[in-house]
Amino acid sequence: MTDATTHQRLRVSTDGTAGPYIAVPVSQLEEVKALLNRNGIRYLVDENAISLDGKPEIAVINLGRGANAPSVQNILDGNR
Amino acid sequence: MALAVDITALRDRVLTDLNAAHDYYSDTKIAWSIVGRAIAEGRTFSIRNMTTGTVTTHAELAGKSRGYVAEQLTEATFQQFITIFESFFVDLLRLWLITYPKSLGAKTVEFRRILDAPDKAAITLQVVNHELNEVMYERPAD
Repeated sequence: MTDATTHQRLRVSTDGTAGPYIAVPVSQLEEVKALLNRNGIRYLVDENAISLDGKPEIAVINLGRGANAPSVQNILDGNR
Repeated sequence: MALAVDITALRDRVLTDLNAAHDYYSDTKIAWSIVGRAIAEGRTFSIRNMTTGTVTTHAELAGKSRGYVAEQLTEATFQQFITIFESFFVDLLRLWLITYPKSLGAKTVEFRRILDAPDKAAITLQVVNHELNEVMYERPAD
């Protein structure tokens, strides 16, 4: 799946200690959530979406500490 | 000897918890400071609460952040220190009373509990925990 605002590949990030997460434009949030739901992936969306320097709002989907980041990345990559 | 080892392990765990709480306090202050600096340098942002729809701008957040650091963060960290100390105190008393339970020798135990307990250590632990609960959670007036 591609980030509609940057046209880059949507990535599962693994930096930090709170488990993998996906930063996604709010405009694509429902689409990504639906994809995760279809694949039985558990997640929690951050309550706040942040817009930096007037750019589109970004929401963060937390996958949890036990999440399999490569597997979720494959799901994102497979949905083009 | 076992008591000394247990108390040392407890001390180490509590010091780790205190350090983590202090790191959280320092890191959060630094993070807010960086936010303040970014705003001062002209960065802009807005934050939308997707549940309530409330939008907070960089200017509003900068205004709130001083109070967050000076009041809420400091108070929350102090409360965390107290919680860690309370936990340490109870755990220390528990270790001490389990090792030297004779000070609780006048306490009575229901015969049913004795029958259900696998051994003397389990009964001792029950009595100690019961006493600690009373000490920690009964009203000061009692």
